[in-house]
Amino acid sequence: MKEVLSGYIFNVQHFSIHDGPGIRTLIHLKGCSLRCSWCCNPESQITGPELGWRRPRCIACGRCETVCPEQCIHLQGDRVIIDRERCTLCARCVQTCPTEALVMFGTQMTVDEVVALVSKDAPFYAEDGGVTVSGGEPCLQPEFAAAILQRCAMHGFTTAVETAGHVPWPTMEMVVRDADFVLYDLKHLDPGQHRLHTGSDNQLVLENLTRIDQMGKGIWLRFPLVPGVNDDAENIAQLAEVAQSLQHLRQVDILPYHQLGSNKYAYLGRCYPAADIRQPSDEELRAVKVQLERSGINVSIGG
Amino acid sequence: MAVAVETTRIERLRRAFLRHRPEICIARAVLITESYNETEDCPAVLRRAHAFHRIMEKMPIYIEDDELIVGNIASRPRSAPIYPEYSAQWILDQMDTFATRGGDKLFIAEEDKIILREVLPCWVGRTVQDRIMRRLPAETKQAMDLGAFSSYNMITGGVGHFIPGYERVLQKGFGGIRAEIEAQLARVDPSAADGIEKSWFYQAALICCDAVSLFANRYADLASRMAQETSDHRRRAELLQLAEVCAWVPQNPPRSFHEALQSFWFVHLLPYIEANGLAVSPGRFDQYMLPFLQRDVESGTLDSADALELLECLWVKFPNIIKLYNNEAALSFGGFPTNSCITLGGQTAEGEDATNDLSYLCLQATADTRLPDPSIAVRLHRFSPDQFVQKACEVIRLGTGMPKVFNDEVIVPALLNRRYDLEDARNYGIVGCVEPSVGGKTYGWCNAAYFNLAKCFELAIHDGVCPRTGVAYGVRTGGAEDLTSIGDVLTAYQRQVSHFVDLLTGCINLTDLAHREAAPLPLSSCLFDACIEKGVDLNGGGARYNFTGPQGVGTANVADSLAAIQHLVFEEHVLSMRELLQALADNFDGHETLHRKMLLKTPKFGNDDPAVDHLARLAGSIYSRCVESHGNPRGGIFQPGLYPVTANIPLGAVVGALPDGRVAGEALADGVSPVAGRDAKGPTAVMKSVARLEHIRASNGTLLNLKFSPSVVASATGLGKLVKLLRGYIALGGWHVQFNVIEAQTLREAQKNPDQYRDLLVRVAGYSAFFVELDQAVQDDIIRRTTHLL
Repeated sequence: MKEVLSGYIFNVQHFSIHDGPGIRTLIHLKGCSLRCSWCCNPESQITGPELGWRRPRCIACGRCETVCPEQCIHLQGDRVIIDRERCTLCARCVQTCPTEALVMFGTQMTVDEVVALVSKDAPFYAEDGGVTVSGGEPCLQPEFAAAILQRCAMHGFTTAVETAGHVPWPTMEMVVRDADFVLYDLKHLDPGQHRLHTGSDNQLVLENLTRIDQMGKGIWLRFPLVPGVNDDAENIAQLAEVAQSLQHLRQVDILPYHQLGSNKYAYLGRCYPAADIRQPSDEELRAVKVQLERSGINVSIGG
Repeated sequence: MAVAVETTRIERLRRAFLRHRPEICIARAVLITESYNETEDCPAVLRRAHAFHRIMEKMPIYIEDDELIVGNIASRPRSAPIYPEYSAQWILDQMDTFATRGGDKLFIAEEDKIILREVLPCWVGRTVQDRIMRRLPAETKQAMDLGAFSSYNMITGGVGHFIPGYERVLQKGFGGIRAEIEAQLARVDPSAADGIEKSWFYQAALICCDAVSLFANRYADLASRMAQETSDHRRRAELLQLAEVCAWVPQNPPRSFHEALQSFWFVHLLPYIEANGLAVSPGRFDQYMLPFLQRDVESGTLDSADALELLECLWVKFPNIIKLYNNEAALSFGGFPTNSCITLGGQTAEGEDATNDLSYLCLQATADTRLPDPSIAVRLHRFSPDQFVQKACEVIRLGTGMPKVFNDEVIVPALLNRRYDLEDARNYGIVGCVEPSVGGKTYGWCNAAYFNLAKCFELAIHDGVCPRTGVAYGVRTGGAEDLTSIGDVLTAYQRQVSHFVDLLTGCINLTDLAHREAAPLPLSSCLFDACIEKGVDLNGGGARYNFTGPQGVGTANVADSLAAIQHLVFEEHVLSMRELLQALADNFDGHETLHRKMLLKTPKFGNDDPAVDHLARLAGSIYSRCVESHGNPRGGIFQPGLYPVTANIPLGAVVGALPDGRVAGEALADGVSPVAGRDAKGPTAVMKSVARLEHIRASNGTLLNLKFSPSVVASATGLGKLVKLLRGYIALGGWHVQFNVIEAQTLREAQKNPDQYRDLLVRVAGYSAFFVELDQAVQDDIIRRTTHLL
């Protein structure tokens, strides 16, 4: 019997209207090859499932402690302490938790299950809506991502991939091949700064971008505007240069840095590395938009 | 240059309106009492006509600065008349608190109170309300007291809820209508069985026609007088023109767009002066007014900027029609709504797209004036032009909650199923909230009652005994042991619904007869072809199509409760039926774990889950089938609706804890929307769930409120996505949708009660997010931003 293809997903977002054309369903695959300090989805970074504790929902009832077969979850006062080294991710605590304070980030789903979810919103896709396979970095589960895209294309939905580009080209090509267009993240144009803030330099990212352009795929460049990190005029000028060099650029989306994900770091027992970064002001956003538009680029704030 | 002048006029009128303090006007109460004292031996229909004539003759009138469209229902702007023939005692009881109560404060002068204390007591005991309350069976009263249904709207006030035949007046003038009535009267055979009654009706109608021309002429005279008195040359010219307009319409067919608008406005006022029924609605304004606009534009006498100014002069008149609600209703219907609904777009009688230039102008007028009335409905269908859908979305995005959107693809077939002619079905307009009616043809009693589906469900699982009061007033359908499958529960629910629908229809029919007997509507009848043809009053069944529309409330609560029982009791065997009832009796005190499980881990309507959506369909359709099997005294049938206005709050107050996790007393779900906060998958999932209901059978209308901050679709491409969302909903077969304004207050409420606002989508910077999932600091920031926007 043929093996059923499945993968890890940490979120399915219906009625996504800021990530590509039309009304889209976003499939967030778990696992990422970068570690951006401002990341708003820390639960996306590791490929497998992760146990989260959402403190605001917790009523400190202690039921989790009693059901844990490994005795690796403990109630201390009103805090739940998880020994993540010993936790086997059996999810007994999650099933028992009456308030959904304990949650498993990351669900294993088959391609069929994903396509069924995407199909739910088919009445709203019209001619340009459809699926966006996003991450994390979707190319870390390339067979799974490609299969979702192929199947959705067969349903007549438009298909998109949102990638940060930091994967070997053969893998990237395998996924992008089946996408109508690509939402391509560019974090920083300077290799050193890129390494400093994401953990890797941007050589591979820029090479892959050129290759995707050569494939003729429509490209939506996505630039997270993070004050003090990548908002200097020189970086924006270089971004404009790269954007102008692309034959198939549709638009550049400036994604203003925000702290909506800050609480999720605490859920995972991690520190928020971008705590002292501020959100860009409306004036700063407009200034960057104007600077890019001067190069004849189609720019949108927030996608 | 011209543009600057127009904005100023409309802005001045708008500001003048907002400055007016809402007041009570006693003129109507005094005049009708005088007239009734003189006509005691008259047949009711003639008595009403004489009273109407007296009011039109004597009611103080006024013309305000800058007005190009004139006329009002009371002696001052934004004033509520009194209609003592419907109900009187409560006005005497509550009058001292009108100016100080919590919602909808109405000023009333001390000297006016003195007059009311003389006038109102002679009505007590003789009103429509008194007649009904004396005659209602004890069993019905008990069911109402215990919250099974509420039909007080039409017990205490007029019926309203129809679209007058404006076209009759625009085509023939009241002079033409008068001639028709005279011809009919001449043909009446006084020796026939119904001859005398018919001739009374026609005589009454003639008195009303005369009263109307008298009323318009008073405005013509006033305008001339004011023209002589003013030193402002420009205003003098306007007033002289107004005098000419009012001397011509509504007596004659209009000669210009301006005259057509003035004629429309006079006609619109009349039913509101004759009776205090709500939601008398303009219907398909963009259709019947278009020829007058086109004629002026083609002849070059009017450009579209002037047309828009005139239209907006009319728009700012609408919110002057206000109603005196009693203190209880004022709390729940805050904002003095009369719900005059204008319908735009849709199809022609031949089934082609009907959108025209005036449809766009009307949307623009609403965007410019931003007042609570008139409310705007747009009809969409498969072939509605993109440009029109976009224009509607642009106005939706302003966040006024308007326009509301209706689906021809479902409503036209629903009307055909109610035996409308095809041409009439395609010609529907919206009355009040969501009720389809045909102008000059349908008398729908659209807001006849609110029926408590959740209460019926509660009685069904408690063997007909109300757990709150211990009174056994439902059907004895069996105790916990007898409910061994979800089918048993559904059967018990069906029997309770059927029983109370029987009581309800009896109650409304009794109300119907009291209106026929004590409150005929000879003026309104002139606006219905069939009434004049047949010689039968509107309240006597004269209209072409007659319906009675009671609304089921709490569909989603019943659905979620059925799903919870199925899941917890019959599938997972988490607890027995008896244990469940105990938890409900304790209002979940001591059953916290179970309660959370009910809230979080049982399927809920509104999440695109076909199984629970099917239960919602059953919950609604069981009600609809019971209702549609009943007839009314006007020769029509009952047709169900599924919407609550705000009755979901009082009807929720009398229902105990339910298996869906709702605690005792909490408001029921609003319309066919999911229970507040139980939908967690966004607007597309809500629309799919709601579209699965049997809308075609709920032909008095269903209502979906989406909590959707308009800023979510702020960009140009965002607008296109809203268009696609609506197109998708039309294709799926929803009946209606409107987008709620998200105000700072709502957001603060969401911070306090996150569980009830899980579905609240907001836009932050470049992102949309569910509000309650955000950090408090971010939430606070959004609240600040929202406040800035408004």
